[in-house]
Amino acid sequence: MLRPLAPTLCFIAFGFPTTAWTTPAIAQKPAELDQLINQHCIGCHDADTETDVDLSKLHYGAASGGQGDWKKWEKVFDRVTQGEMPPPSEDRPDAKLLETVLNELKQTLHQRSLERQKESGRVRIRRLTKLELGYTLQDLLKIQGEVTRSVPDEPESGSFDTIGANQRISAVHLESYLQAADEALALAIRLGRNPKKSIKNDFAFLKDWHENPLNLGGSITRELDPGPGVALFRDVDYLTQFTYDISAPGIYQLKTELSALQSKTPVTAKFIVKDQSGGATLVHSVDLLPDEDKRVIEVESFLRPGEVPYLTFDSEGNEPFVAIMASGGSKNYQGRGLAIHSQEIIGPITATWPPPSTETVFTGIKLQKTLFGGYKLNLASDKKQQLRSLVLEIAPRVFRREVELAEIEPFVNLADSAIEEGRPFDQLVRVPLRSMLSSPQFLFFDGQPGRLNDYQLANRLSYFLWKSLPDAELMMLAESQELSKSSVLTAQVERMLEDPKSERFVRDFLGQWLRLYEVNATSPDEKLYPEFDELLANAIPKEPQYFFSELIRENLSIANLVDSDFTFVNRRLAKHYKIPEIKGQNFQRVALDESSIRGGLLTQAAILKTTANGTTTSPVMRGNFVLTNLLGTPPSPPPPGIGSIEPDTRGKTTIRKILAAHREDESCNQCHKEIDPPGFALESFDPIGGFRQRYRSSGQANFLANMFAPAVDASGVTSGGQKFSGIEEFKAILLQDKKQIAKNFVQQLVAYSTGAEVQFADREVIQEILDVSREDGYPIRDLIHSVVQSRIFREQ
Amino acid sequence: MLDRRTLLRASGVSLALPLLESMTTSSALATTPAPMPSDANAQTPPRRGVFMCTTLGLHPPNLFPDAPVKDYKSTKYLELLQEHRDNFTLFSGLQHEDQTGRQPHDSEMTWLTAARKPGMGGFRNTISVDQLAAKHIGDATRLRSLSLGTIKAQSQSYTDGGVMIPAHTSPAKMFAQLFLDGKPHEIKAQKQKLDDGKSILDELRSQTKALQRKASTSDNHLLDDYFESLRVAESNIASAQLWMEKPKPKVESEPPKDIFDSADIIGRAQLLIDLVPLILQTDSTRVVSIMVQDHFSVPKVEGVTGNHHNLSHHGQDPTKIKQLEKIETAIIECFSSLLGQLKSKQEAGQTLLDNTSVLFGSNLGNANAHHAKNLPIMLAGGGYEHAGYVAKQEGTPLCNLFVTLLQGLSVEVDTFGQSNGTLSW
Repeated sequence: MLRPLAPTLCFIAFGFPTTAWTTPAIAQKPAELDQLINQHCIGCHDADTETDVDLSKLHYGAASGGQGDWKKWEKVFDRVTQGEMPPPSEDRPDAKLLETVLNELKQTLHQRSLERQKESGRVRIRRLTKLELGYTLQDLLKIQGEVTRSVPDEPESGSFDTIGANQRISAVHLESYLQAADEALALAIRLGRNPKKSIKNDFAFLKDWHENPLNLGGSITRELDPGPGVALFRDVDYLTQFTYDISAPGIYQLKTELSALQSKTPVTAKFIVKDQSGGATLVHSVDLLPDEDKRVIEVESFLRPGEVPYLTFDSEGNEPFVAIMASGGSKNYQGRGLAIHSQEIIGPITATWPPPSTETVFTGIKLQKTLFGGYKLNLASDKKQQLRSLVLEIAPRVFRREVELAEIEPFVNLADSAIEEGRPFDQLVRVPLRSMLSSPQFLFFDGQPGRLNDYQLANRLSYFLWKSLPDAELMMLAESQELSKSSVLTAQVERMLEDPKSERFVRDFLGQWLRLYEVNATSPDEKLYPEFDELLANAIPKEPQYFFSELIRENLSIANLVDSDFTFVNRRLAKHYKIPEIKGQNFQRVALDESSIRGGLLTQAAILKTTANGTTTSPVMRGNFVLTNLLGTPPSPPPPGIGSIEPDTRGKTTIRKILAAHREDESCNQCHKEIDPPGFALESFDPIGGFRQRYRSSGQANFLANMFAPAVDASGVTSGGQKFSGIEEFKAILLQDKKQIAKNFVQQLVAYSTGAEVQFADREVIQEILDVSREDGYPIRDLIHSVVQSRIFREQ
Repeated sequence: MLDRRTLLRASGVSLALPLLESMTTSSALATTPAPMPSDANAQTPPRRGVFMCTTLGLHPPNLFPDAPVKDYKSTKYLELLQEHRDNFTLFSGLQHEDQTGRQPHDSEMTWLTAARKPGMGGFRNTISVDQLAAKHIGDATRLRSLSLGTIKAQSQSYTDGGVMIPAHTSPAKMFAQLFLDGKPHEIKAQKQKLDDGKSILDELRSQTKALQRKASTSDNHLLDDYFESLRVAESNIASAQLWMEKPKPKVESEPPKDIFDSADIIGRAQLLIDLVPLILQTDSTRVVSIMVQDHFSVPKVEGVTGNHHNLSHHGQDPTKIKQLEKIETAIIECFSSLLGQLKSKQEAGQTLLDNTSVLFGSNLGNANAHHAKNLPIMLAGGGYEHAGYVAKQEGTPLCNLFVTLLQGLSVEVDTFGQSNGTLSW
């Protein structure tokens, strides 16, 4: 693979001298603006308006401290600049007047936005998200496993969960933070004996059933011949568990020897973990080839007490129960299955014992092995002093900045009574740590208006690309105040993007920006889409992650988001896409030839599934997605009281016919001429992202019914009058304006990474970023670098 | 807001409202003012809800009578409940939609929540009916709610966030927690935990104050939120501390001894059930869920040699059905004993059962097919006018009954889960 060229980037200092804007402008509404309004706008936008903008009441100037009407003026500016207002049916304003007014308005809006940023900071206050809290506790204490299960999920806010303005804290949060800290410390502090053990499954309990071929086990498994081991013929979760007895949380190795049995095609083994609340997670899948010898497969997974890991295989939609019964039980069954030659679980696996997490908490204290295999702390006589030095050691990492002794003293003092009572040191150390890990200093990102100091910069950078606290190198660079140097910052971004922790950014950013966290929020109708199985459900969300990571790694053009000559698939997803000859369940980059309908984000099953409801597709939902998430030009919400479109899957009519009727109404058409066309282009893809030429109909999901089902028509005309016959031509139209896609992408990055929505004064900076990278086709990695170097990223 | 009487009328159920009489039981709260919002109807006995599930169904031919009438002709199983005939209603036709999970037993998770597609990838449970009730009526008691299980910590109680509340499996521990004064060191540890929490919150409060003074002027909403959260969390601890100070209700019963043999599922269930009337009468909690299950053991029941789960897949084999019948009979007898005990306790001129709605049934309709349709559901007590056997149209949301039940508990809701109304009979 090509290595990206070292970004020849922009060490340009974005922005401009702040002194130019120090005079607080008591804005005077320019006469030309009044003139334009009176001539062209007030007819509709007066006190009697049916719209939500009454220009006669709009204040030109902000009430003290508040946003005032400026947000609305920004909207006025945008609508008029884009030519949407006055509407096409009305007279055009005088060009010169319009230019004067827009320039004036732009200046004023920019200036007052900048003043506001200077005065109170662009980003007000923000806290760690649930995800960031989890990763921070893990990285801080060197533990694995999720400790934030009691923390409430971030609510849907229509934007990124990092945006401070949308965040809240409740007592439920606070209590859950205390609990998360508790759980994290309990995982970290391990002074007992090493609980590592190995459990082999000898399948003895299946023996009885094997003698009774039609009884439960005997209709599902049989003894392997030659043994030892069992053959599994059905995809069940209660016969081939590794163990029911996970007694200590940690990383476990699931070790098996497997082969395909009586099969001409690959058999996919699945490693699944059932949790206590009933969920089940596919942690690994692997293809076993028909002619292959038994193979050792080792999978590592974090397990906690109560979880049950088990082994099964993909039955590819064929439930062989009847066939097994017909052959008199699995003893004589000749169908395909999974041969399990051995099955073992080993763990918990740690680098050392006591684990590194324990050493992290007790830095500088010697651990002494006791007679019983446990460990005890070799403590100084002055417990409080010992505690103080531990807290002092860890505090700069907890608060992610320099910490003064005076600051931590109150936390240390919390342990006073515990020391007095003579509580064991490994217990009393939790008192200050627990409170620090629930404190505002830990949970919030501090900062005053103005330029971020080096520690704050390290934090912003680290939570952007790693979703966690700065590592030692970043902290060192912050301490020496080197980090804020452009060249150092560039090198750090390079380093951080190479680090596997950057996958967290990819997952979370795509999860929120493209709503991919919701990809499995709907389950496809089983009758209509019987091919949607566990392996596919598991593969679909991974494609955009691999794809986007590749764009970053190879510094590829933003155009790839719309169309690309490659994508990432495994065998299961390749089958879904009808891409031949892909082997294995691991994801691999595949070249897409000219004739392929895939390429870019929009044709990835993850996007297509997220934008459908499981049973049907709606061009409105998908069109809205393209406009809002890809292009950053969201349509106006539907007027109140308007019903939604009712899909009809009986095969009598199509969504296009329903929408066509809708669009005959001019007031609907205003917006739907924008919304529907991208959705029409995507009609070639069903709710699980499969390519289709005809709609599947419910009720009679048989071959004949589907042959005569209505055909898909993916053609359309954009609001700009450009015709397209389907998704291929539509992508070409989208690619005519790469800048819009790049602009939206940069805006999303800015909002996500800084924790505040894009503001008017940011526009200039974003424009500069786009200008610099236009010639290279807006390469993704460069755009990330530019955002980090920009004024908005480096100021509060 | 509607008052309870209106709601109950609207649901088509006539309910004997409790008389205004002072409670006969000595409440732990009687001597000191309640730290929590006091019950508006402190004069009348409180209303309680008990939710009991046997997770492998009840063999339908043994359960459902031929005709849905009040004076039904008893069936094998209903015969066991003969003495309570007027105290319960048996329903057929009720179910939750979309319960085909990864495996049929996943409907155990959703019996009280009605969340769809349990166990499938991305599944997330929702609040259970008992927990919703506890949210509204749990504040006045030492425990907001209580979840009990025969074998393991699995319960059918789920929080708002879909998190399972672990079940208590030890009657002895439960009894000790509610009715026995702890050993000094236990009390000390408990107090210590609360004190630690309190001083941590205290310290955080003063730190937050300092930060608030320092922080930039215009937008402090998160710090303000945080400050308020500290206050609420502190008051939660304070109420726990208050309860610690209050003497526990004194009961005459002997503390139960736990049964450690996990195959004695019936004995274990009975022990749990014996605790329930005591817990309710002392107003230690008003919401209880009980899960009776063990798939893989051979229950210690005379004449039973197969494990419960295998027997439930009887495949119409008469010998298996016979054994299954024995297990199910024992479980129904547990239920019967619960009703009997609740009936024998008097409060304010009524029986405890009059003020306690008991839901009993299973998350599986036909265990042989392992499907979650046409669930066996009984509602007992609660002051409802009981009607023998009521056959609802197949597919009627069980959640409609949940709504009716919630309203009977003075929880002012008109929807729950998959409900599309209330249930009348």
